[in-house]
Amino acid sequence: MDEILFFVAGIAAIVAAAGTVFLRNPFYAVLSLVVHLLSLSMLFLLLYAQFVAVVQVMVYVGAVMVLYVFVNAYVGGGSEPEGGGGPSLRMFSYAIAITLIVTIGIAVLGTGLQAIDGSGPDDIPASFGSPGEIGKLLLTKFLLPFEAASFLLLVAAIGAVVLARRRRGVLPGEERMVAALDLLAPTGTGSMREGVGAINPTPGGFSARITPSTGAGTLPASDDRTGDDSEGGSR
Amino acid sequence: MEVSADDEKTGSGGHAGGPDREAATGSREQDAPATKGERDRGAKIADQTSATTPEADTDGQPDEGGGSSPSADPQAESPATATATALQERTEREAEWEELARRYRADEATIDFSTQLGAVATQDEAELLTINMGPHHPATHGVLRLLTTLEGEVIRDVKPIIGYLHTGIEKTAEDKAYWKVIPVVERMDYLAYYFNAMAYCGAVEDLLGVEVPKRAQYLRVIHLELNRIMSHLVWLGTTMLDLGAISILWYAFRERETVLDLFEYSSGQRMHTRYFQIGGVVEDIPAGWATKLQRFLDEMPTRLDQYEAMLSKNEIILQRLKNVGVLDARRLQEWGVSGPLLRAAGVPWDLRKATPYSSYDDFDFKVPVGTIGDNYDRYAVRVAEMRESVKIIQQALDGLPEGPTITEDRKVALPPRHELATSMEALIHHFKLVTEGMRVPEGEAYFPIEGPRGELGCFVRSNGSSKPARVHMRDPSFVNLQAFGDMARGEYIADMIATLACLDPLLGGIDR
Amino acid sequence: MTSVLAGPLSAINYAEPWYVQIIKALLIFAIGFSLVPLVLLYERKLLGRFQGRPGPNRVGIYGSMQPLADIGKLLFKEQFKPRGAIGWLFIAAPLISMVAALATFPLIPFSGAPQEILGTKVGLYGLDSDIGLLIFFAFSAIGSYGILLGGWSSTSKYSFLGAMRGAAQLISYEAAQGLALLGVVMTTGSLSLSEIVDKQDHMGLWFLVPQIVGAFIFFVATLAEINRTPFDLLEADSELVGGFMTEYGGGRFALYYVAEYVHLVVAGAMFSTLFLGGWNIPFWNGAPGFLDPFVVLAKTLVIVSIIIWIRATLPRLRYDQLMSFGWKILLPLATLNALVTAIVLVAL
Repeated sequence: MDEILFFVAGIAAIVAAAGTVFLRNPFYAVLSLVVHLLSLSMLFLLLYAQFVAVVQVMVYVGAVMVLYVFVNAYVGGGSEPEGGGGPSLRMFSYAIAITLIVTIGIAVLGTGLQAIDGSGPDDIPASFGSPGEIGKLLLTKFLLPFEAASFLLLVAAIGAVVLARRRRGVLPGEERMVAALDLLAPTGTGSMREGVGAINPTPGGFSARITPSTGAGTLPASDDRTGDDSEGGSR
Repeated sequence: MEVSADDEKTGSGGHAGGPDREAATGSREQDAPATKGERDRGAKIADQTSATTPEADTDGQPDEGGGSSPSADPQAESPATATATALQERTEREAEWEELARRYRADEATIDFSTQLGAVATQDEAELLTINMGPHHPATHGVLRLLTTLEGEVIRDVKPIIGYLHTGIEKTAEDKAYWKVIPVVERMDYLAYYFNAMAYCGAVEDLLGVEVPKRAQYLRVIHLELNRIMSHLVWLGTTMLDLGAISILWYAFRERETVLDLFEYSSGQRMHTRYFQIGGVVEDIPAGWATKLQRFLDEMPTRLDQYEAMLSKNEIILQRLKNVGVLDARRLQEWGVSGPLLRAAGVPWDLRKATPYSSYDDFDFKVPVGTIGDNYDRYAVRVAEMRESVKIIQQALDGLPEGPTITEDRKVALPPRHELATSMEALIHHFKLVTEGMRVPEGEAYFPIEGPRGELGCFVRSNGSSKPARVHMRDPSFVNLQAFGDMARGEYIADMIATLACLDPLLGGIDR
Repeated sequence: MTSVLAGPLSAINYAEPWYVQIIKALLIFAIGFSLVPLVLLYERKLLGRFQGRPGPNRVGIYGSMQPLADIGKLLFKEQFKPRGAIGWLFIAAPLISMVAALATFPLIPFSGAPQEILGTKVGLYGLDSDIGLLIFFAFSAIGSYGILLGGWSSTSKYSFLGAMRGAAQLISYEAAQGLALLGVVMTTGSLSLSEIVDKQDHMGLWFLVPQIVGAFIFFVATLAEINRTPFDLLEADSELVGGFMTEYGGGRFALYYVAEYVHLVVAGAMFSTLFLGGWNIPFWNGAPGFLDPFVVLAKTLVIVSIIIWIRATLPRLRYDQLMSFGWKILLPLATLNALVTAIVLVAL
């Protein structure tokens, strides 16, 4: 059972990771990353690391990736990536990628070859991977890295807030340019063409002051306004 | 919210509203072509309330409101000259309008719109989202369509598009005998059928110069105010439903049901009762009706207390309503808004006080006004109005005079049944009225009343035949909807829905 | 084949024979599903009573077949999808919601000591993990994908707005929901749900009393997590028609619908487990074991009733009010609650 699950999760992780890199639509790439993270959490579970597995789902899948999906859904649309730089940049990226693969390969193969004859730890304490154990480790052995990492995250969060604050929402009294059409006729007078957006489909026209200069926007001066004999006089 | 303690004479409300209104009329000339009839009327009322006394009634046609209805016009010329002048001016104006429309269409046809659409808003267009709400949408209260431009959740612009419920009632009315028009106009604003009938009957009565008996006037007031309560109850229920409070709808409809039962008991119909008749009401209230009504009047204030306990102290409701959809009185008047919306902004303009009709000056009631004109004020004003309506009905019921319920004028009202057996003359009148209908002297009349949504006026033009030459309703929903864009812009989309609900548009009335 | 899950998974307290586990899995699935129509009917009846009307009473005795009729009608409807919808995502999204909802149900412990059923010791829970609470949060996090993807793949603006609201709301309130439980977890010293109940048993005091603030925050945040009034902005029918599920109909809509009610049941059961002492009956220590599941169900019913009561009473918040309430009131309050609890625990 363990072996089956391992291979299922492992293959899913690799395929999803590849998908993240190769899929052109950013939305699908992010979804692929979600699948990848879920597979990883399954692998963690097989390694007796239940806490890490669940936190992986909670934090990465549940919070971080939701934001990715969110942003992609909002901003998305342009599925084609930007043009990939010049040939020199491409060569540079190839070099980096190859270096990375070699490094990781050495590391993985090294440990893998070393462990090929071993049988793993025989006696795993019952508390291994439990929240209590991890908490203890974080607050004793790994206290400094733990605090440093949280400080770094705090700085990043504040930075993000500061950057995001630059853009604000709608301001009252904002300047608007007015289409020439608005001057010709009071919009919102309800022609069907306007309704279906054939004319003036963009916002702003409704509130534009109608200037009398073009003539079409003004009403004829009705001079009987003061008199009361036009409509009710015969009573 | 505060309640202004107006005295019950023609009045202080009218004076407060009058000058403002006149000023607003001037500026409205610029941009609101649709409210022509209403404009003339506004100017006239301003005249009346500031210059003339209601008793200066010299045209020799005593009308129902003891001389204080808007038809009391001291400067009336002889009918024929006035009509001729009016018709001539109308023709000129129509020609002018047609020319204008033709020029507009020509202009429109020549414009290359594709070059125009680039730079309407300065902000990045890609971030705006245009949503088409309606005509079939749960929150548009009928077949209203809102072309909404959102930035995130904030309304950048909204265009109401109407016309989906156009029924051609005004045109239909031109092809019916005067008394057959009543059930047709009742179907315009389907929550204010008594008001529609009242406005129409009032206009025709003005033209005919018949006097409505006092008892009929009181019965009309009772039914009008019951209808106002009913309409406000529907408003309360649906508005709160739009805010997500589902239960209040059922409570409000429970009371509405009682009102509808009363309507059914007095007229045989729950809606579109055709109870008001030209010259009075169709028949007297049945035995036991007053008891039922009294029971309702005793119950209603406690029910209103219950609603307020549920809504006015609810923090979420307050958060959702307060300071939302604010539009000041000045701007509202510029848009021609009337009724609870205007009163919520602090203008005590109520036609029942300003130009009392149908004996409204007999009753002691207050005009509730708000302070800043946000949605909360609109809510509070309407709830307070329901309380005032209960008070009015109570007074009308207590002081209900004896007497006929319809005018004795046999040219206008059908003779009583028993007369048909004995009187030849009655039979002839009956035959003439049923087959041809009454003939109404040439002329025009505009009869405004205070509907549940604002000034509901009916304009009737007669050419002397038995059918009206023109019937036009100045429907408050239609005029009030103009101000919606101003109210909603800059709000959240959820607040736009609440604001629309507090506007209380009735699509049957808007499209007619 | 002695132990299918002898490997690492056995560490999550899987101690029963494999056939018991399979039977349990099926049972939990069946119970979880059959609770839905009951709650559906209960809500409609109760709402009806709140609103002065009888509620459904035509189909079956006392309207008892109404939910089956509803669901049956939905299942036999045409499975349509909007033109332009992203097909496989559109189909997968309600499934994700459903799976995420059902997956939290096995976490709820229905009795303390394993019960002896037909000679086999069976624990009345699907999964009693020492990280049970975290699994609960993990699955509710996955559940938000159902909403997000469903709204996005419909290619409708209403769905899109609803889904965006949903994602933001779920993320915001998950933080408060989790933090609110820190007090309980610290007092118990474990994330296991059955141990939390045991702790309340030993203390002789439900966590509702010492953790009243936490209970309040958890309850409110749960309302937001399961999209109930006054936080039902995801499907705010007055502005967004149906929110993220506007374009759904038939069986797929039924999936969302059922998932929502599973969420409702799980929320009630979770609250009674965490704060109302689970199967514990106050002032009766020697209660027979077979009563335990019914006690849990009764407490769940109470919570569900309260949630329905709230729905009948309160209007819904506006989006920005919802957000500021979550971040500016609930979250600091939850943090403060955790802090105070920690101080008290250390001081004692």
